[in-house]
Amino acid sequence: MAQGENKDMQLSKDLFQYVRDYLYEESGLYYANYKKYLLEGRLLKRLSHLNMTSFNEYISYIRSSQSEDSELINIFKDIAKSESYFFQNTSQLKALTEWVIPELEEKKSEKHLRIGSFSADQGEEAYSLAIALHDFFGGHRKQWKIQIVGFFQESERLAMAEKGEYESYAIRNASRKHILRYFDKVGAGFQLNNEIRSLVSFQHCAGPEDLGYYGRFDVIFCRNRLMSLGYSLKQTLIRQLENALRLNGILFLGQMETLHNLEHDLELCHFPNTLAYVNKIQGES
Amino acid sequence: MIPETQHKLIEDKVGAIGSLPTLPDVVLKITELVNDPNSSMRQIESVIAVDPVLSSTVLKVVNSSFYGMAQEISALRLALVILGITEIKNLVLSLSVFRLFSRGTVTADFNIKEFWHHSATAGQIARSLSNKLNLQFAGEEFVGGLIHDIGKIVLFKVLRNEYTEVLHRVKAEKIQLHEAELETFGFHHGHVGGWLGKKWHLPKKLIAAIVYHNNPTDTEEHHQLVGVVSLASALTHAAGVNTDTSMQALFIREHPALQMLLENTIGLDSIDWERFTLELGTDVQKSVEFVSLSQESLWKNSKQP
Repeated sequence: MAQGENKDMQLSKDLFQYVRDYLYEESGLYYANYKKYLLEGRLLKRLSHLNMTSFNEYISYIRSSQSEDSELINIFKDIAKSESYFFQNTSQLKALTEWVIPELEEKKSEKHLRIGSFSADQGEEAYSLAIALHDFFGGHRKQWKIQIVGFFQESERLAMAEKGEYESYAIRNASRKHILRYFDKVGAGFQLNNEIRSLVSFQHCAGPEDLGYYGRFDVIFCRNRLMSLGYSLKQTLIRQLENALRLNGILFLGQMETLHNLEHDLELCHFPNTLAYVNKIQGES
Repeated sequence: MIPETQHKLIEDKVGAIGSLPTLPDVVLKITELVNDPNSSMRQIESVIAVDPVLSSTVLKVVNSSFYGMAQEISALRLALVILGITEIKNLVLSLSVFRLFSRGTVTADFNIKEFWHHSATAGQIARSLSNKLNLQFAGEEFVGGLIHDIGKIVLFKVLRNEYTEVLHRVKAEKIQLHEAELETFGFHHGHVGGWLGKKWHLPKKLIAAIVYHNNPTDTEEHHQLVGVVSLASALTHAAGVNTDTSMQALFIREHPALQMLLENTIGLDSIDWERFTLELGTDVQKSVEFVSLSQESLWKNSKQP
């Protein structure tokens, strides 16, 4: 172990690259070099939780047979938890309103937009989408038939989402204008008003296989969910997501997530500051 | 290099009006020395040293995270030894062009700051791509990226009203800039940049990269440099610093420059594009540092006698 590691608890460049590459190969989650501090912070939390004093010790623990994959799962759970807030990825929302919808507008004869949210949160994403689209369409929304469906495997999270009530932590990224316009103060927290809640429906979904029952989507968001699954489940989920996308439908993942090491037929595409995957194959409807 | 028709049109329309800046002698002199097998490093060093602002800026950039050197490089001579004369020549060229054109008005239609942010990022991405592909460009890829859009500045300076109209049309009609330029003028900003590059006696490789960055497969030679610069410019879209308002989604694997590079480069098909593009933020950071550091160093000192 490097001398002084206990003192300042910084991840050395080599160790950072080792852990980063390990996470990437295992989960498709990629911490870029300029995001080293994020990974450092994430791991430090786990270290202190486990009463460990060095990164070396912790990394052996991740890789040790007794912990199997469970420590990785803990990291992913932490990420999903800390990334569950409103307007978590504004680049994706911008891509949706500035590029995806105008493109649909040109191509589609019927103005029908179906968005699915299959993310590891409690409805924050589905509601953020509803707010962004409400802002974007303004008075023209009547011309469009918009459907936003949030899918949950756990009934607890489904219930939370349906309630639409959040702590102030969850709306830290929302603008004052949005909070005043769309949220009501309820006790210590905030509840979304009916205007936004009526735009979103929530569904219980026992597993990825169930996605097939809900028809096809123009856009699907699947944030921080793939990474915590084992390989074969991940593979099943991605194939189901693929099937649930319309021709030219788009899949957005978490900010640092990729489909690395997975078999799929989607095409990688880029919008400013965000990558996505597009279904270019016409499936059976 | 530039098609005859376009060359003549530009001579008539741009060359006749504008008094365009010329490159400082130092660039020409270094180029001659680098190409001369009998020249010495001492000669190259003394040519750069004649311009103290330039030489101190070279050292500042060399010692910044842009190069990420393990040790401090305290003298020009050391920079020439460690980075090589071609790399330093290309850095001098980059800084000289940047010095000529980096000050200007920011208007609603043409934001010079965004322009250089995009250009330097394209240069930096071209560097990363070349490293990834083991292409030995010694700095040409960075200059290529940095100056690939230089024709836009010329068009904006010389044909301001007409060019502003073109920019408006591109925004409103979501058409591609170089095609709108072609329709209006009979040439596009790539041609204009190439024309200026020819006046400046830039290497043919660089002129090709400038002329063909929008339609890379039209080039007849220098496929690798043209491909890398063209792809780097497209990737600025993913990095969030594209100035081209007409671009929508970028399908990197379908980009013509990539197809062309695949035919001319071994190992390219093994690029992990997700990983490469998630790392673009690092390139953006480096280019921000290049721009701010160079600007500060070149301007602060330029006021001195």
